[in-house]
Amino acid sequence: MTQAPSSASAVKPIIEVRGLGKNFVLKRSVFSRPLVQIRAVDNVTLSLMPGETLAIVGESGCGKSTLGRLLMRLIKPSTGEVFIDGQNVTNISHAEMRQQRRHVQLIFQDPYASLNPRMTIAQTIAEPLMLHNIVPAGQRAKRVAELLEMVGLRPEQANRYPHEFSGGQRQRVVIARALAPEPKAIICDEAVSALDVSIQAQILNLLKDLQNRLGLAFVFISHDLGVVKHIADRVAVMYLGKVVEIGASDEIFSAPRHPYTRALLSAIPVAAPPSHQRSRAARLHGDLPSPLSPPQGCRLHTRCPHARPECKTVSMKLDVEASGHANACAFWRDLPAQDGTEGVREPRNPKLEKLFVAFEAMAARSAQTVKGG
Amino acid sequence: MSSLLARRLLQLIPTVVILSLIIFSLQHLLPGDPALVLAGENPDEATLAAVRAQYHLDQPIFVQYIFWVKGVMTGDLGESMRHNRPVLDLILLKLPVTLQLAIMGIVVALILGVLGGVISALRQNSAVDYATNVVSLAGISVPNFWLGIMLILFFSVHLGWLPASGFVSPSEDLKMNLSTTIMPAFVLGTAIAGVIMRHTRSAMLQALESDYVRTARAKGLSEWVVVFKHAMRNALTPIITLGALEFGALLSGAVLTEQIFTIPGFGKLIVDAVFTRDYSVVQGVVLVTSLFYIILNLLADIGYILVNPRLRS
Amino acid sequence: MSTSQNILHAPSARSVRADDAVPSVLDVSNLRVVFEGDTRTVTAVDGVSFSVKKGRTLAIVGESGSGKSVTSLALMRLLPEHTARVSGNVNFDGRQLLTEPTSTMRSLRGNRLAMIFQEPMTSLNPSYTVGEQIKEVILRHRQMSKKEAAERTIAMLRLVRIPSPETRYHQYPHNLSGGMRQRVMIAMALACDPELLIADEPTTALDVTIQAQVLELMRELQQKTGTAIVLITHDLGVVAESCDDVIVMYAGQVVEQCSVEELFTFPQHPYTVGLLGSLPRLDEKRERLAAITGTVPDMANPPAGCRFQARCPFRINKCAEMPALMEVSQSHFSRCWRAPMEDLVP
Repeated sequence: MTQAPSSASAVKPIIEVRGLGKNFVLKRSVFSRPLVQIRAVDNVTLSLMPGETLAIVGESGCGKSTLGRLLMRLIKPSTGEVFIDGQNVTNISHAEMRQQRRHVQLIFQDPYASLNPRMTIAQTIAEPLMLHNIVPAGQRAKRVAELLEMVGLRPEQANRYPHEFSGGQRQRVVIARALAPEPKAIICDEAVSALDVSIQAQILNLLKDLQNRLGLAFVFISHDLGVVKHIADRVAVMYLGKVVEIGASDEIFSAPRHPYTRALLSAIPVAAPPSHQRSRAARLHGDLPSPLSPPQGCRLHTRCPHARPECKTVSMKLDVEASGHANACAFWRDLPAQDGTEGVREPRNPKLEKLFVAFEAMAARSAQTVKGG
Repeated sequence: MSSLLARRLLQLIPTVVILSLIIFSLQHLLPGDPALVLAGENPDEATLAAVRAQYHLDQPIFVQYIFWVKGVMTGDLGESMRHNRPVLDLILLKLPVTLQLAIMGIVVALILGVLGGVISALRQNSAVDYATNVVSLAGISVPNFWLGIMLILFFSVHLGWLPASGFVSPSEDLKMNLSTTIMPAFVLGTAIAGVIMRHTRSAMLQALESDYVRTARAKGLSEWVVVFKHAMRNALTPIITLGALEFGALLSGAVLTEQIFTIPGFGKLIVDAVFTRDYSVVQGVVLVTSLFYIILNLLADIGYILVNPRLRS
Repeated sequence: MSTSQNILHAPSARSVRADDAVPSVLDVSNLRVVFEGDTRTVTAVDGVSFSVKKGRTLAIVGESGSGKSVTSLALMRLLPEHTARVSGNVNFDGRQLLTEPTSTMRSLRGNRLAMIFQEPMTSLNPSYTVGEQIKEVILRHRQMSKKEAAERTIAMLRLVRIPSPETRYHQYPHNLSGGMRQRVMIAMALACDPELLIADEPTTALDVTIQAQVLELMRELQQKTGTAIVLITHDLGVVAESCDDVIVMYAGQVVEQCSVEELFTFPQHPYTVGLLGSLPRLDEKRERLAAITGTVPDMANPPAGCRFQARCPFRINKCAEMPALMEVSQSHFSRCWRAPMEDLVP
């Protein structure tokens, strides 16, 4: 981070959750008594500090999207408490929640589905301004233009409709709308997953720029660890509704503790020459167990390469280190030294690095001469 | 599956209760005092009182409802004052006629509708597709009575191939039975065929565009197998529900067609009953057709569960 | 819009390499696919040439709209005939696939040429059991009794490491997880021992840990059977991990062609450089990614000259002319006037 996003004295978290859980009823009896329940999120405690990016990673069905919605109290938790900006919002009314919603905005994966096709971009972005009465009516057009410029769109494009934009541009519009109510935090749920790599990089750069400029905090929900590594300050790894590891991004990536984190890292195919591919020892075997009946004890034991008999009975209590890094593996200290640092390192050809630098430098130069695009 | 079925059956209870309430109140919504109708011409007060007592008309309406429900449960749908016969007898007499007509009608509708729908989906945007669309639209929009009259004019009056009206029971003369029912069945079928065709066409188009059909083609299967085994199986499942509902409609809604061809079925029974204010018959026919409708709906749901492996397990 | 003015360097005439002794299974030259709509005509694939060698995996990599998926469907002749005009030469085992009668194509598909798709969720028919769907392709192409076909089906399920195959045989696709369904697709594709397997984004819809398993399975089966694979993907990581050769597609054309080792050691086309640069990396944290500015050109109306020029930081005046796919080094081809890229490094 080049700029300090916020003064160090204000260390009150924007979002804080304690013992958060969410059950969904999948099947009810004839008398609508719940028969089958799924614990989508199970006993999660974490907080989001101003200006930081907390990533929530995990595979499909791990509960990361549900957790994202719980964090902004879009859905009501079954257990635990949610605090937004210091206020307990676990049980507050709809009307009060609407006021709070201003502070935490949400961006989805599919920008097309989250934009109203019959509204112009200007109308879309002005809506939250109106709703929360942020700028006087006379100055709204000017504010919309500012927001458009902020996300790298041209103010002249304000009167166009969503279908006239490409996927990347639409995601920029969605970001502009999310910025309109001047939130303190934005929850990005797979916000770049549907985009092509080159466009994804544009949006990631934009998000970082906005964070530096506005001191925003992000909750970045993603299955793509490369993206997470690039953007996150802290990372929470989830498996079957449980947070199995949480810690500073650098530590998670350089010295992952939990076998699941290790497996995730080693499973990412790395864009490096085949002669530099990593070992696959840490990988998981088998399929994800049904979330309806997660395994007893440690939920990973059915797939873990390091499983031992005790794993069937241990609790998944987070073992918190002094640094704040926590993981849920009871035996992580006994695990073989992770290939961690070596495993994840992608050896680079110095000549290629120079080529990247030349590419970036030339791109930056031409961006200055031709603005927009 | 069994719990799904159990829930579906439980849902029937409120439906049937509401239905019975509606049908019961029908009697009281119609103008005139039922006792007056029941007592015959120029009754004196004593006769009226006797009739009221006999039919519990002097009781509170709630008690009347209970008596009525009790009667229905034991097969007592009341008495037709015009025919002086139990309503149930009349219904049982006419039911086979209407049932035959409805079955023939739905068969015509399914053959024309599914065939037309599949062909126009396979030849999307071709002349054949447009032609079937026009024909189906005509089937939906041409009034039954007009088509009926046209058929009578052509096949009975002009060509003299088929009798213009009347009905012969199949037990009497099967050939005559068919020649008296083929035209009304065709009239009933075409109206529904259009709807079925449109649904089949869009479901087939969707199935033909699907990934699993692409997989079937990538397996080197013949186009015949791709279309009729892979696409059709999935496209036709919604047609089951549609067909059952339309069949239910046929059982109750053949009034005009039966009138035109003077077929002594439910339609004719109910029209005659309405004109002669034979309330108990109206009530009985509406009750029976509604129950048919509910049962068919249930059967359609069961059928849907049976062909859909996702719901079966 | 015709782009036939550019002369293509036929890569099948590649100069001698160590593995040139390996015969090629598929030779594609100058493949073009034009979609004719009511209002616009789009050239989705514009003069693509490549060959696939026995027992090797060729990656076709590109972003959405690059024409990579259309290329694969064109090879299988699975594009709708009334809207897609396909031309060029596709030589598979001495046959010209584009001119074979439909009946011959059908006897090849699923038999000697097989394909798997991106969405294992929707690519299997929801109304038939998994076993039935695999057995069907065996019965179609092999002289076998139903019993033998069922036995072979179970053997195939076992081969793709589906636990308790006898039970799975009788299950419907919705009973299986995404990874299991993709294994079923692979079993189905390999049931008749094809010479060539075309895999269109086979792991894109899967989670990383499952993706790793499926890619490993494909690699292992390839070693066992010697099947050549064309793997279509947008994921450079997947290319690096499981392919031997690669072509990079951009806006309907091949812009770079080489071995996977060469591509990740030193790419020779600015688009590939940009793609690699825009990948977030696991080994270091950079403040910004080297994003490629702008978006792909409109394929109904592609720009004259190099199609990447509007987004290319290295463009020069000559880029207004369409470059051919030119040899940069012995086995490395690039469609760029400024190649070799070594000259651009200060």
